[in-house]
Amino acid sequence: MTLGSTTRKAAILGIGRSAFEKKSAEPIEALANDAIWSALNDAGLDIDDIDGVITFSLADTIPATGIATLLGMPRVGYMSTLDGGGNVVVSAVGYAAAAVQAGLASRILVVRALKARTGKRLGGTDEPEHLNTSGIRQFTGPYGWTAYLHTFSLVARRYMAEYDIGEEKMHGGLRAVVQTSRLYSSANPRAIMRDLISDDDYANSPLLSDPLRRADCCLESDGACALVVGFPDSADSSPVEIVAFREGGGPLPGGDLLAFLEWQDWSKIYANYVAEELYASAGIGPSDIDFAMLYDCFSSNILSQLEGFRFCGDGEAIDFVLEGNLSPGHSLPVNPHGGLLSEAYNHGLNGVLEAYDQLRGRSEGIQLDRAQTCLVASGGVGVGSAMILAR
Amino acid sequence: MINSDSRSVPEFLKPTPDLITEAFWDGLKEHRLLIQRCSQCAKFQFPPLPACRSCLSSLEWVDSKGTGTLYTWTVVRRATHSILGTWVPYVLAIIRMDEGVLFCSHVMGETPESLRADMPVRVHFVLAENGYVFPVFRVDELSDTDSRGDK
Repeated sequence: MTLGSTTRKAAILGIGRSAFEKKSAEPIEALANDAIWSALNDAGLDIDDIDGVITFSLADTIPATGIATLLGMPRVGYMSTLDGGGNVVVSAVGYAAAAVQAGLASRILVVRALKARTGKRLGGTDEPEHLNTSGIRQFTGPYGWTAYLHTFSLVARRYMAEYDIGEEKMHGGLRAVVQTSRLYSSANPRAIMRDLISDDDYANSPLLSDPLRRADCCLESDGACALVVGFPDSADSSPVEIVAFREGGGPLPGGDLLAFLEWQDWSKIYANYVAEELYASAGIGPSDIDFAMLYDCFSSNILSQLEGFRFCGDGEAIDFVLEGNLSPGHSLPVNPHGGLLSEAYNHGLNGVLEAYDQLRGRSEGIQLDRAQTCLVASGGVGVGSAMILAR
Repeated sequence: MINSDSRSVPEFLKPTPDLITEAFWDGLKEHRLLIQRCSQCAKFQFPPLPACRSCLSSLEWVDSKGTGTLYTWTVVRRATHSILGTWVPYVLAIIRMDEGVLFCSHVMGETPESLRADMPVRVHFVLAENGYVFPVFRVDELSDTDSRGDK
C-alpha cells in the first residue's frame, strides 16, 4: 500500500484519552467511553459520522464490535480487531487510512482500551498464560523464558555481542534513554512517572534480567486512547496527514511475539526491514524527520529502532543517544510525552496521540519547536509497523 | 542458582508435546538430540515442521552433533512468575547449533561473568523431576573452535 502516491490522503481528525492511572477504579468500558467521546469532540464529529472501528487485542481489550455496541453506533461498517500488541499499533492507524482511501468507510475510530495493570498483565505476574509450554513455547517455556523482559534481554545481549559493546557502555546508553524519557515526562501533566532519574537512581534500580533493570521496563497501567481517521474537512488547510504507512519485518519472524527460535539475526529488528520502503513511500529520508515516536516497551528497543530507521549507523545508537540527540531542541527528539516508560502503557497508541498534539503545536508537555514531520513506529522484534505523519 | 552443579534435581516446566514434536521429546529419553533434516535438500530444521519450508519435501529426524556456540543469554535475577521463585538467578541461553538451528536452554557450570558470546558449548542431558529429559549445555573444552586457542 503506497499511501504516498494517492492524491487524496487520509488524516487524523481528532484524538482523545481517558485519564492514565496505575490502577483505575473505572471499568474498561468507561475508560473507552472517555477516550472515544473526547476524540469525537476534538474532531467536531458525532457518532453518526463514524462507520468503522479498528482496535487490537493482545491481553486486555474490547473488540471492535463491542465498541460499536458500547457506543450504540448507528452505522456499523468496517470492523476490525487486529491480533497483536506493539507490532500493530501503527497498523491500526495505517489500516484505517487505507480503508478510508479504498472507500470501505468514511471515518474510522481507532481505539485501544486496556487495563494493563488491574486487568490482564503482560509483565512479571502470575498470569497462567505466562507458563504456556505449547507450540513454540514447549522449547522455551520449560527453561523459564516466560516474559517479554526475557525476550528483550536476549535481543539486547546479542546486540552487545554483535557490536562489541561492553556492560558499562550498554548501562550508560540505556540509562540515557531512561533519563531522556523522564526529562520529557517531568513536564507532562498526564504522565504517571514524572520524577527525574539520577545516575545513582538508575544504578540502584534492580537488575531484573541483564542488561535490563526495572527502570528499563515500561509501565503497566490502565487507560484508553482513541482517534478518528478520515478525509480532512476542506476547511482544514493544514490537516495531520498519514503520508506513508508500512507494516512488516524480516524472514521467519515466528508466530509468537514473546518467544521465537526461527529469527536469524537477533541484532536486527523489524525496523531494519521496513525503513527503506517507508521512506521511499513518503519520498523523504531520516534527515527529514523532525521527531520520532518509538516503541519503548523496554529502553533497549529505542536503540534498535534508532538504527533500524537509519537515524544512525549499525552499532552507533548508544553514541547517538549519549550525544543528546533525543533531547528537546536536538536533532531527533524522541517520545516527547515520556513514552511507555514514563507516561503510560496504553500499548503505544498514546504515542500516536502525542504525535498529533505535537504536530498541531498543542502538546501539554514539552512542545517541540520543529514539529512538521514525524515518524511513528511500533513493534518488538520480528514484525512491526511504522508511518510518517506530516502537517 | 539452578544452573550450578550443586543442585541435584534441576527444575524445568513441563513441556506440551504435539503431533509434530513428540519424536523430539521421545528422542531425549534416549539421550538423543534430534533435529529434522530435509530428505531432498538436506537443510536442517528446528523447531520442528510438518514439511521442509524450502522444498515441501518430507523431513527426517537425525541426531544433532550436539555442539554449538552461545548465541545470546541473560541472567534472570528476578522471577517473573512465583513458580520461578526458587530458580533465580538462572542463565537463560540461546545456542546456535553447528547445524545452524537455534535452541533455548540453560548453560550449566559457569558463573555469569565467565560467559562469552560465541563460546563453544556441548549438549548434556538431565532428567527433570517432571519426568522429561532436557538438553542443557556446558562449555565445550574439547572444541577446536575454542576462542582460547589452546586446543
